[in-house]
Amino acid sequence: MIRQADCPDALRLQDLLDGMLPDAEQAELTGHLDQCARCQQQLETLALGGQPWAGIARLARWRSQPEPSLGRAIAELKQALTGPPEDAIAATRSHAAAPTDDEAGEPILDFLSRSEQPGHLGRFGPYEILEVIGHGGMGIVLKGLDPVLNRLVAIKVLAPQLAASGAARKRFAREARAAAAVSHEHVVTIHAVDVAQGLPYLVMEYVPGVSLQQRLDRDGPLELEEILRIALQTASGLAAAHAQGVVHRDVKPANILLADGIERVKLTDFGLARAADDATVTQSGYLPGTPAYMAPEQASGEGVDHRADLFSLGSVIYAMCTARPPFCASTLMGLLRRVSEDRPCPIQEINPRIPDWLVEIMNRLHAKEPARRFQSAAEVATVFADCLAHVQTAIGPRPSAIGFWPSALGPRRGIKPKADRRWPKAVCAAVLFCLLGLGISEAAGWTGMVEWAATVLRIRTPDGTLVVEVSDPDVQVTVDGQDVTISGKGIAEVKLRAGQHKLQATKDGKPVLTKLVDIRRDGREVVKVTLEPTGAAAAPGGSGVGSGPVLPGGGDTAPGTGPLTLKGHAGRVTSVAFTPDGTILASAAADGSVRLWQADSGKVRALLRAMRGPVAGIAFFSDGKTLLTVGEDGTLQLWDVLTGKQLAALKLSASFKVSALQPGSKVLATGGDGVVKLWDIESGKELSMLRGRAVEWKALAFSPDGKRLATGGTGTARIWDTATGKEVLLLPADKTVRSLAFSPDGRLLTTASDGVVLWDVETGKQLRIMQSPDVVSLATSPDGKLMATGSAGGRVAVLDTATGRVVRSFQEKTGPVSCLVFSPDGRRLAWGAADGSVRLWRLDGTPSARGELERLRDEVEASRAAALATEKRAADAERAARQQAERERHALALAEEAGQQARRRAYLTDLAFAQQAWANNQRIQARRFLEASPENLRGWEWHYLMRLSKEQPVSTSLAGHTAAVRVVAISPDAKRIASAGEDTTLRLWDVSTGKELARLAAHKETVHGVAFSPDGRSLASADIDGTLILWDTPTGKIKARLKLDEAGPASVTFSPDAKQMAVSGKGQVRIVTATDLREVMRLVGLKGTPHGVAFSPDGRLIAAASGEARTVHVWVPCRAEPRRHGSRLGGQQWQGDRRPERT
Amino acid sequence: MTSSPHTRPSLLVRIRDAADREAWRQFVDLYAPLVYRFARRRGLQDADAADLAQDVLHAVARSSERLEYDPRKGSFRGWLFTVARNKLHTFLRRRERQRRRTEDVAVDRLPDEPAAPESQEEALWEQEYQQRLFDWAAEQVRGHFQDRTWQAFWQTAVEGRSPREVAEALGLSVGAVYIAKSRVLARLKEQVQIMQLE
Repeated sequence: MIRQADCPDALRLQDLLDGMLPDAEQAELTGHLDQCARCQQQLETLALGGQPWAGIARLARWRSQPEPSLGRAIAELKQALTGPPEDAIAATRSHAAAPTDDEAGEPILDFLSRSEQPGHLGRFGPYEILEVIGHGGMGIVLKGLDPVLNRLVAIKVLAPQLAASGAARKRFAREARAAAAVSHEHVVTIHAVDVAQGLPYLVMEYVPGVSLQQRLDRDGPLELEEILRIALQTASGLAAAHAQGVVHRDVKPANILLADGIERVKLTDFGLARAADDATVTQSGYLPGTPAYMAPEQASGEGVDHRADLFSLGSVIYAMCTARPPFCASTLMGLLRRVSEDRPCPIQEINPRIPDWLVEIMNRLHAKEPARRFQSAAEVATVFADCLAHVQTAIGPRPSAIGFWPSALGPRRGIKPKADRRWPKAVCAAVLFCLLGLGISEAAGWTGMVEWAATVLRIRTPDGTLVVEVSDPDVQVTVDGQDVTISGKGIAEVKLRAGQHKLQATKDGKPVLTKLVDIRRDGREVVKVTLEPTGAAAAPGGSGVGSGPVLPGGGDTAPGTGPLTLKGHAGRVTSVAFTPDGTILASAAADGSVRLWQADSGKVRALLRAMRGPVAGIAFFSDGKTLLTVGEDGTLQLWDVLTGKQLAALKLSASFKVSALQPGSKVLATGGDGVVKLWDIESGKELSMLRGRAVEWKALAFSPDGKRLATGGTGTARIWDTATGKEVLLLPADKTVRSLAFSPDGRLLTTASDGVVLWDVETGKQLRIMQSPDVVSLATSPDGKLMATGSAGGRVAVLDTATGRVVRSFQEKTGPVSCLVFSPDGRRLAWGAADGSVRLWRLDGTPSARGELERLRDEVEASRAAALATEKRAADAERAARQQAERERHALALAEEAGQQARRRAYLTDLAFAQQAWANNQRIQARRFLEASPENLRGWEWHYLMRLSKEQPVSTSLAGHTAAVRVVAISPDAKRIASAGEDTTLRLWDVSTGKELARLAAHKETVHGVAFSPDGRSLASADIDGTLILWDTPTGKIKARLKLDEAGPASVTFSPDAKQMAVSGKGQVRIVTATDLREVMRLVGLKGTPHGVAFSPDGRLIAAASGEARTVHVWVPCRAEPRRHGSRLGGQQWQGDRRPERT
Repeated sequence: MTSSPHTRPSLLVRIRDAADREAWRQFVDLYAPLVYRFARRRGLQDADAADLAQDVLHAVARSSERLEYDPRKGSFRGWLFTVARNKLHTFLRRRERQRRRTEDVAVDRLPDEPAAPESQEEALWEQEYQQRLFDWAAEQVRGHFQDRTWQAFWQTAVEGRSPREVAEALGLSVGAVYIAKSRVLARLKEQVQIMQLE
């Protein structure tokens, strides 16, 4: 007999149900359940949560029918809707026979019919299918064989799962039409569009090779020349598409195919491209494109035009430079925000080898505002064509010893002289290209020297390139009997087909060279026509770039003989410089004149009437076509070397004695009494001033990488960081440092004062001191092995850098040797003297001591290693100290925590007292206990209070508004209340006292929205006229104000991270920054006049109430990876959703 | 339909996120057999019914971004029913046209089951939905229990046999059968609620 008293209570039965009881107890209860019908019943009731579950027997009747095809249907559905199961992906990846792209799984190929060819996957339409190339958003791409034409084709078949859908068919057809309209060598050709077995498909040119994405994944960042080539070809493919009104919309590395073997890029997958006038489709909220590469206007869902592709091209260039996309974020929302707001991590931080000019081009493509980008793909293609020509032909600068570093200048484009404060636009472009040359030489390093003759003919064809170098401008070159025009010196290009061509060079009607050249596919042929000045001989070269150059010799200074004397200047020669190709020497003097000389013969080429006052310095740009002259009075001039004409002039607002041009930038350093200044030579603006003590600066020199500036003056030489303007090293000197020269690798600095001292630039250590007391000028040879010194007495000595031994010397009574420079090949030395003469000396045969130099380098390395070890010890000590500090902080935090707990306990005690007081109906006392507690009343305490009182909470009326109050908000700390309404004022109240704290009157219309920022420091209010005001809560001052275009009840709310606000206006919600009310995004599609707007606590959802339209509009960011699901399921950022208003 | 808890839109919010694979799989598992069953009942062959199920769920997937169903007018599955019915009609009409074209009517035509009146049809759909949901939940839950436990539940709760009889057949005590039944019931109920109320 079971007694009711033995029955377990409900809790124990619940434990039994949950399997929470020990075995023995469970056994005991099971025994009880054997007998007790009441407990049997109660257990079941508990299991069902108190509600009986009737008709289970009926419910369980599902499994009764055969469903043979259902399993397949479900599997296909899941694959179509969610992609393949993860294990299937793994299986596919290791499946060699069917290579698929990363995201693709095993595609369903049951639409293929059986092929009679063994090894083929099947047949589709007339095509034999060989393999699956990939499959993605819209369909499957197959490699097929066209049996009629016997050519390989790529066939893109609309996914069978989608073929039933009208929208998908339409988009597919649109894709096909758009792409087929574009015919260009850098766009994948569409052969046909057709339907087979109910599936629409398009037949494309088969491009063997990999995509740029695969290439980047495999090899990492690309080489500069390849980056430029791919960028150029992509831009020209885009230009062709844009000319047809087709915007690609999804330019990314995965859509850029790199054909095997031939250096040709093919742009593919106009999957999202559509005619530019069909932009309305995008407006509906569908978000095409790949977020990591897309333009901000695409990311924000605005209408796009062809300039969106240019932004994406910028992103692709970024990826080529760094092997990563420009924008990354963990969520799609974050990514879109970054695309719209951020700048990518600077390229050069990831890949320092990328030159500034390429970064500038990328930045211009990446302008957030389409209007600030390049305006056409054709323009971009032209820019890259120029860049590429430069990279392939131009050489970089070499450091000369004093004053200036010559640098390269880009192609001239009809520059007219103009005495403007700013350089004319074309000159800015020229300066850009000047940077180009510098970048290349840095990439090539200092050792891979290339000598080019004066004229380079580039005979370029789609199949190959013919490069002809001619040293004499009088030589006439014909190819296949056709004249190739050479106008002066420069680069000419000739188009040729593949095959054999006859090249002939003549001078004064006499043939000097005849050669048959083969232009091969992807080949490169170099023919060198080098004429001796006697005009008799010709020497075909036939080797490529980088082969040992032959210096045009002849009536030149022979080795071992004395220098040529070049006369003409009427005052002290202040600066000498060679063109980068070494063919021209320029000299400038205190009389304001600049002279150009043939470097081989010493003949005068041109006389430039440069300045009224003394010329402080000169520098060539790297193509040798443009010369910069800097006057002591601050005048800057650009000259065309060929014609001797002035191109542009600019006046700096300063005067100085010495100047130096920073390699790789547009920065000029000038030095005089007390200060060194850095100038932007493009704008003429002063960039910074390097403050030293009152020193008269006599010499300036930039390090070859431009990062350091060395200055020499009375009693000191200093090295500065050019980026920060800070002094990094002070090198002591007894007397005035008159000249400075960095070694080509930038690690050593030579100074001339009392003696010639060689310094380690990093440590400031003196490595060698050469006693030659009256040296006033210095130069380092381009290979760093030799050094030249010029003395006050007119003596010039060439020393072995490593040993300090003098290997050559020359003396004449010229007065002080004021400037010295090695030719770029290091075989000549030129100097200028106080008497106005210029000397040109051939140095061939000068011995050098390589072993000795290397020993010196080793010494430097050893001392570096020692320094590093010391640094490491210091770092270890610092780390230990940090850990100690961390421990102390931790202890402090623990103490704090303990203190907080104590306070919490005290508070709970107060609460207990309050409870007691309530129980005794002593409300006032209870309230005091609560108010005395350290925290203010918060939600749960209110609740507690109410439970204690078992009454309605006490209410207080805050009176003051003169018309209807519409909105109210409580500050996050619950201390203040803001209210507003039809009287247009905004009022702040103190919660505890009910006092009006402030009356903010700035609105003109009924205030309809009010919100505190999450930190409570800001208050936002919006009125029905569309005015949004951001207030500073403590002071009541207006921080920012925004007038919306549209009126209507405007509501406002802060995002949970306090960074943004949502403001609803008529028909749309705007997202604006919470600091300055700058608009970030617009969420459109709202019907009616919105009343309220809200963020979800994680900030990912935005909802707006639409008022009369009786709907709530929700924008939901979709985490879908758009490429996979986007086209099928509409994976989009924001989606409109209509749901009924809750009433 | 008022007696059952309405499908809350939250699962549908989940499937609007195309990347939520789990939600989509659950969605397909739950609803594809329902549509298939519906199509079979209306006289479609096995393969046709499977295709129709695919078609309907694709339509739902495509419009999930817009969420065309309107909860004011009923639950999601009510809306699904409408979509399925429309698709079915389209299918039947097309088939009818084809038959007329080929004039091959007599050969393989099977008499369609006469369609039930609309209200009955919808009630049937609702009933099948409940069955499908139960079946789906049972699939999910069964693996969590030993076979004997499951059998104790199934034979008592579903087949309606007396606990004593089942206890003897399975070699358990009566109390153990009650415990087994209750545990499975609790789990099943939870699973059904997750699907309906999640």
